[in-house]
Amino acid sequence: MSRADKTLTKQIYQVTLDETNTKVMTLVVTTLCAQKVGGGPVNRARAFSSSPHTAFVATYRFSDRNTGSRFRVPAAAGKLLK
Amino acid sequence: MTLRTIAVGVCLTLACGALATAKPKKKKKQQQQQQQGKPSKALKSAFKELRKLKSYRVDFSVKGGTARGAGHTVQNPTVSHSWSAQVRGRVDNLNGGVAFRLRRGGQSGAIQDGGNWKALLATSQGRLIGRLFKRPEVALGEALRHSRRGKWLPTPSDGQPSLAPGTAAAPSQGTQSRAESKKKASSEQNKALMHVIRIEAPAQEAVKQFNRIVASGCFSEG
Repeated sequence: MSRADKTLTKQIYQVTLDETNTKVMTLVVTTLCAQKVGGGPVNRARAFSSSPHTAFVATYRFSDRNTGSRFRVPAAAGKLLK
Repeated sequence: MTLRTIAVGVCLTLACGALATAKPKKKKKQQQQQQQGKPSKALKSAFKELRKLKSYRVDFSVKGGTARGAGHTVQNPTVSHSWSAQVRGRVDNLNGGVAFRLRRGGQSGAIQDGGNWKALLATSQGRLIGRLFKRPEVALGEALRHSRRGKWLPTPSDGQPSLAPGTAAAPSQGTQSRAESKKKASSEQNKALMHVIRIEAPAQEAVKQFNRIVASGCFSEG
């Protein structure tokens, strides 16, 4: 059995810009957390490489800048957006 | 006394030699940095550009689970979701009208649930969206907060810039001199540089984010 070891975590942002360095094309947010395997201590040097670890990778891809069409927000939904 | 003078002279000659050999490398690095600028500055201007946009589309996906290897590839994801959002003005339209939320407003939002509109965090699907799909401008703002730690990702083969796919410079033909064609190829390469910034946030940020993921209930969803 393994469980997350929150004393050893890492968060990495990777931003890809366009060739003019003024527009974000993608943003990748990687959250890593070491895993304790079998109750033994975590090897800090290998925690995020050869050892199994928890990873969450969130990817945002941006497109259609200033070209989107209008959309209608239903009144009932609009009331909840306050 | 004379011996000391000779020794000092030899040392100086060696040091000058070392400096002379190190100069081109340093100059190349400086040129590359000048060309790209500071990562924090580039990120700031990109963040401003995104905030100023009247509308844009964002496709979001999240994968989570146990990973192995330095690439952090999740083999059997416990969590795997994807959503898209059309951002226009102050409102995000999620998955083509299934849910709405404010572009820059706390946790408020609305989601369709069995024909009724409910607060975003009142349903399990809404909680997943609210906790996992952070607003793009918020996520980018957080990256910007730690941008001083940012670094341009090194290009492959040390000094040879990586080209975007399908943009390799064509070899010159005909009357162009070798120097001219070399210059042209290098400028084309510079244009096609992949501009990737990597920022490692402090560990407490990672703990916060991890707690947020756990609070989404995505683990119990399977």
